[in-house]
Amino acid sequence: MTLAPALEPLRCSNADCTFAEAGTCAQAASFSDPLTQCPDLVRDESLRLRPRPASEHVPVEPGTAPWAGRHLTAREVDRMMWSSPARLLAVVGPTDAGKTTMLLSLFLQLADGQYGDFPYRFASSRSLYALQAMCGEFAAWDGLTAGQAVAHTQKADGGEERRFVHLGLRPRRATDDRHIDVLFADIAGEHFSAFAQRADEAAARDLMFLRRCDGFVVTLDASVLATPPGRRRLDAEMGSLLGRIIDIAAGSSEPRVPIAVTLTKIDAVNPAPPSAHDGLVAWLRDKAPRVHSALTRARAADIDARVFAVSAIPPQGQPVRVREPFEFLMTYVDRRPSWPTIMRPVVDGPAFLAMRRRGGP
Amino acid sequence: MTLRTVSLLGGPESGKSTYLGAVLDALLNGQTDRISVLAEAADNAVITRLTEPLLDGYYPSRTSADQRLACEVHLGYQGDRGAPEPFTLSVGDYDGEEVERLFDNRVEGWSPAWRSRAGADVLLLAMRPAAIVPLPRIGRTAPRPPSPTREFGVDPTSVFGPGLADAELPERHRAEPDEPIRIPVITVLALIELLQFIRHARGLAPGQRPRDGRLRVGVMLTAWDAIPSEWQTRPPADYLAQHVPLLVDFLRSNFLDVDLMCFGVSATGGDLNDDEHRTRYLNAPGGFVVWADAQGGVQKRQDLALPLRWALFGDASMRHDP
Repeated sequence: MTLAPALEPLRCSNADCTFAEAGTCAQAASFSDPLTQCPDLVRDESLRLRPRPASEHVPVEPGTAPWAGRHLTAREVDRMMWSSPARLLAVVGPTDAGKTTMLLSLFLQLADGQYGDFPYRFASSRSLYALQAMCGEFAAWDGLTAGQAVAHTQKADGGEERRFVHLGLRPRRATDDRHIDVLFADIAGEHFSAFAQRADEAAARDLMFLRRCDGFVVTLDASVLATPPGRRRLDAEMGSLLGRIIDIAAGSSEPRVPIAVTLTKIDAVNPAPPSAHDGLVAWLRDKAPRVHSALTRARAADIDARVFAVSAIPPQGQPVRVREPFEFLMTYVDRRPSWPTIMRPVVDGPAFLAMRRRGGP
Repeated sequence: MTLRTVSLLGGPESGKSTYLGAVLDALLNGQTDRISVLAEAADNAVITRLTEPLLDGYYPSRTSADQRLACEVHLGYQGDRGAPEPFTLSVGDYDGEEVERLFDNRVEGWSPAWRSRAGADVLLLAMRPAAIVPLPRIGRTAPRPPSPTREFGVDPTSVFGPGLADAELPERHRAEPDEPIRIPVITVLALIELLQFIRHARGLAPGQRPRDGRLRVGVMLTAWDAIPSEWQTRPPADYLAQHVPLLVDFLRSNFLDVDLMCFGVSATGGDLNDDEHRTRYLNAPGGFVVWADAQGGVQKRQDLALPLRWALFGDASMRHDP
């Protein structure tokens, strides 16, 4: 169907929606009358729409899927967080640090049943189409071309960015029957580079979700840190970015939001950095003094900041330790309150019986 | 008469039409246990279209994009005692590419036909094993063959007892560091998305399992005769867990174990394109079904309606099989 000319200036920020063009709302399941209910519709204020009588209801085509399956927008994340106690994890880092590749690698590990010690298994996803698209890009990558196995996450010029990947996880422990919604923020590195430079209003608006995060994965390209030309520049940028993340985490309630500082692309580092946390901290002290200094500040602020070294998509073989940062964060974000100690009266032999007979102490 | 609807879900070339044709043929020929035809169907056109090629020893032609076949058959289910319980089986066939279109085209893919299928009493997933195995990603820098499959030794009955077949599936083996990364095929992701849509349409939240017996899901691994020989003697559920852990995790997270069952199905008992087998099939038509019993033993029966029977009537209907 085509809409009346008066509706043509309508635009929807949902990339899957063709409501403005064809009258089909991408969220028909949520909105019986998208024109009045959908917050994604942008109306051109310069052209006043005439009031619509109830009889002139715009029919919604019945073919629209319940969800788009692509990256979720901030609004969709809001809705999900209202409807379930979803956990929000941010993968933070500059462009080309390997943020999206880490997420893809984690998904591929779960999809292949390679859980290792990761105590969750796949249960659902509202971003399956986005994950499939990433898989497709990765499958098409020849492994030789320098750059990325998956496409660089683009910074949107206008409209709302789709920047969150959803995974529903089920604990692998047979006695734990919960379904846990985990949202991974996967946004363009340019946002973080700008944030490292200036924490101004624009950055605060773009990265508002950071204050709601339950955990951070801060990614550093270890291959850059290992070589002198780019090392100092990256250290300066990441020291500043990590410092800002620490500031955010320090403002959270106890226990503080954890940070997994993750050295990516370690397959390209020769000699390889150590694998244990203490060894990696020492490696960072040598290669990235500002990042190391920020880590020291995190400890002082009572923030659990661990260092991991991963290779999400090595040239050959399986991903290396890619689950570990997420596993570490999940121990915090999925922490459950322990049962209170049950108070039981201590039977004290004859004295207790005597007290009972007396009817009180 | 009770109407029982079955949604047969599967991607392209998954063997839906062949299974449907073969099972209808078996029902009409009286080659099924416990389920029998009680009355002639009002409209035989679809049944004829699906079964006729098999009578000549050919596979039913592929269902085209604009074709949606549906048929109703009046059947009776013989329980443990009493007269057969009459019911009308409603089942349909469609182009398997609809599933992938549904995944790609979010605006028009979730059609009224799909919404109708979402309300079915039971779901049967048809998958061709060769089409669901995730391919290892081997770049030009890593030209190496996939590592050979290793045996794994998990005994479900030692943990859960003999109560439920398929109650605990073996996990995929831990990959060696030099094994290539495996990427799930689009058919599997599209099927998972379709199941998520169906659950959503039925008002089920993610992770919420339907009540016991409310929605059974039978997974049929078709063309089981063509499976590599090392898998012929193992439960089909093992094959699924080993090759498609993502789907298994999804199913086990969203459905009760008692409402899941995996079958290996060979609708024609072999490849009809092989002249020798075709001749054999014309003389003695039939296929077989393989599944794991409560003790984990692999059972094989000629009754092609067995997945249908289990999906409609549950574990109780298989009490005497074997």
